[in-house]
Amino acid sequence: MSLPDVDPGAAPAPEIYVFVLYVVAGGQASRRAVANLRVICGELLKDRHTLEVIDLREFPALAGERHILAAPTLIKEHPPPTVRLIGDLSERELVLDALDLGPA
Amino acid sequence: MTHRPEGAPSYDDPAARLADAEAALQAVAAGAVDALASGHGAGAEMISLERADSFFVTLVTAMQEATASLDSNGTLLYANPRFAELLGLPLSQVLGRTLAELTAKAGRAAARRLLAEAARGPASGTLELRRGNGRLVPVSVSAAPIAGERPEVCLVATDLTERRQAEDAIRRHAEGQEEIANLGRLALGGASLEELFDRSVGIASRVLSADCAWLVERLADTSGFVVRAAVGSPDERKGARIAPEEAPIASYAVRSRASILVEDWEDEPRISSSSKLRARGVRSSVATLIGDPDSPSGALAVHYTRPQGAPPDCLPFLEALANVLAEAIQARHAQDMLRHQALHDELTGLPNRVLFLDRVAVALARNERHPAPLAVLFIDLDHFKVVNDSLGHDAGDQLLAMVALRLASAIRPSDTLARFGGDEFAVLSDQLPSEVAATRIANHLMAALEEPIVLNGNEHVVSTSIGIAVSTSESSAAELLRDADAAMYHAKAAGPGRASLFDEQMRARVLGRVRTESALRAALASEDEIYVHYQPLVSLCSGQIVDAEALARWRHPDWGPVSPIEFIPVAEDSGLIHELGAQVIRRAARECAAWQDIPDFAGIAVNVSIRQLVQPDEVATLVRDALATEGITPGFLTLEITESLLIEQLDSALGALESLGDLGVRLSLDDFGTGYSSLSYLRDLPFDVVKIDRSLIRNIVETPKAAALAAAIIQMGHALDLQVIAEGVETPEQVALMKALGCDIAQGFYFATPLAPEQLTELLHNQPRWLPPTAKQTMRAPTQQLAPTARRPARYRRKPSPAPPRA
Repeated sequence: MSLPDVDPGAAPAPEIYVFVLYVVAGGQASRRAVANLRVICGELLKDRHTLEVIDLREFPALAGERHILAAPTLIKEHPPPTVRLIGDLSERELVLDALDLGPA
Repeated sequence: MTHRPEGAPSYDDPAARLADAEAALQAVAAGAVDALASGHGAGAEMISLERADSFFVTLVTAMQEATASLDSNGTLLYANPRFAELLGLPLSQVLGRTLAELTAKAGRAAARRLLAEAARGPASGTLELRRGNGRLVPVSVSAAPIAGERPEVCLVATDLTERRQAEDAIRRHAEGQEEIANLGRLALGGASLEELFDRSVGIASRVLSADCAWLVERLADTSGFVVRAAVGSPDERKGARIAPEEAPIASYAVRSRASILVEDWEDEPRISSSSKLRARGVRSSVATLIGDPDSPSGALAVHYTRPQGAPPDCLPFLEALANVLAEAIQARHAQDMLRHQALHDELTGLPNRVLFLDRVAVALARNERHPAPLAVLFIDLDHFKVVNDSLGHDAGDQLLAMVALRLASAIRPSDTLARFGGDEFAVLSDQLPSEVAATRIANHLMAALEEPIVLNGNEHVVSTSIGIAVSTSESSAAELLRDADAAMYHAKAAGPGRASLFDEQMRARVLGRVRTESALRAALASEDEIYVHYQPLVSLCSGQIVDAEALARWRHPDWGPVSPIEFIPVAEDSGLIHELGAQVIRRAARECAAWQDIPDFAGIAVNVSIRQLVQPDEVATLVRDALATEGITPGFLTLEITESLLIEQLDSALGALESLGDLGVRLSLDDFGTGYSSLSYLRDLPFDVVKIDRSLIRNIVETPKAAALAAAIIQMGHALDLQVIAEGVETPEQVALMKALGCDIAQGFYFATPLAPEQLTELLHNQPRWLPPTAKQTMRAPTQQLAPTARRPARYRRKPSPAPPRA
């Protein structure tokens, strides 16, 4: 796992983080997960992310297809590697660490 | 909280799946999971860990109201499907977004305020959410705090779009009705069509919130349209022609005879858009026809740069607007037609006298700036009455129409040809190179008629008399026409097929008539310039005065006596004859009343103009009143009507003659032998007396033919039980001959000139009795008759010493 290249001289296009959050809409933990992720993204990623929140009650088949065991589950699809986080994302330090968004 | 970085595809790896399951278990233990998945693939289900929660979630999910919960930052933590539907987004695009992101920019502050308020307690308000396609959705929001470990706000949003639309529709309807009423008022107030068209596109565009509106007129030959008004498309030129394919919506409306609504040009099966509409970015349109759908006069269309731009109730409004326009157009057409009828001759379609005079006036005004000879030609067909009488009016009309075409072919396009009715035409020709050109035009006009006109297989040679008047700077249109008319009469007098240019001599004559007319008008108002003289009528049987003819006389204060030969025609042409005739009848009735007591005096005769007989009751009323006022028996009064004039106006005079006959007055046919001398008139009309014209009497002694004619009239008159009177006897020979031929009564200078009433009274009291002249007297008489005034006393059997005649 490597830190994002921040060398201004290289000036690479900033990475866009692609998140998909699988929830059961209305669930306590799901609501917390949405709120927590939103705060993190708002603070650290601003426009550099897309977020899709999928209600597994609406699309239960997706749980099977995507091998999701529990809701909420966050999948960071980009940049690689793909990361899965199960739970309400309330342990901020762990989440940042897992998503490789720790303080630079 | 557990996480597992993975390298895809890694799910076949049992170790990875185990790690996942472990992470899930830890999360469940930490209370960080709502539900677990069970089953595999498409058969997977979510099993909720908290039953109560699941119940409410199911309830809320199924709710028809849009519901969501947000955290203190405004992030949507939960939204039901209806909420996503309201925003036009998949639910996955809604969760995790903030309310601010989903609200129109202008409403974000309001959204933040509402959330802040709702965090403290229940709150409500309206917001405008921005849908995925960019359109705004007005919503009413109720929000309330949810107590818990992390404070949340839940809200219910109600879509106001339909209510707004309904409100808009009501407002639009009211506004539309008002605009239509205003437009109707303008139309009634006589606003021009152009103004109405301009306003209506403005109204249509405003009320229907359109991006642009056009009004096109359909060309009569159906070859396309003409732009009459446009708003919202500045490059659209008024009056520009549009081919049918360039106006697809108007063309389709005309073809289908109905209004048309295109919701999206990109998805329109019936017609395709035009390059013009595409260039303007038009996506949707509405058009309605103006006027009768079977032959509309045009179309009114509004266009939108967005699909489905027109509000749902646009058609009734647009059609009502088009109806107002259609009615205005129809009213204008009717007015135009009336105006055309008022200014044109129905038979030929040529301008009539009114329009002609106007054109002459305009040309004269133009002449002041660009002086050049201007001519008015007055054209009268020769002997047209004969053609009309022999062929019938229909054929006469056809002939006139063909004459009009011939005349039109002979003039310049800039000239005006008019028909004044009957067989009278006129031409206005201005900006002529010279005065001589006017005569050339007359020659052209006559040449155009040289070729016989073929009508129903018969050839007719039509000739005209033309009078020409060339403008002088000070003449008016009416004067110019009058001069041309006078010149035409001059030409006609010289024989058919001639043209005559109005000259100074004619001008002097015309001016003389004008002067006479105004003086006569003054004389009739003064009532002491006009008086009556009476010429005795003598029985050839008894030699006694049996009647007297009343004759109008006029003495002008400056000019002295004016001859009746001069003033009677002026009175007839100017219409003053009505007043003159009335004054003469009233005066004669007053003056003759006393003569009723004189034995053997049968009464007086008064001349009536044919023009007085056109109104059936005019003379009858006048005579009845005069007789009643003066106490005169009807049989004491004879009315004399000139034969030649009567025959021309017989149709209109017949009624008047009959009502006069009914009154009991006697009727006398004057100047018999000068006109048609038709026996049938004498037989069929209610006459009592016939007077042989003086022109016959003049030659009667020298010309056997004249004597024979007189003899025939006398015999015929007697056969019809009429009294026969010889006019203008001047010599004893004439008197002797008329007596010999059996004529009843004679009148003339031989007996007496017209006398003042007091002179006649005196003469009647003296009871003169003229002896039948002897052969000796007959021989002597001519030498004594050089001066009638000198010889008069000798005529009386007992010298009555009469006063000398005044006129």
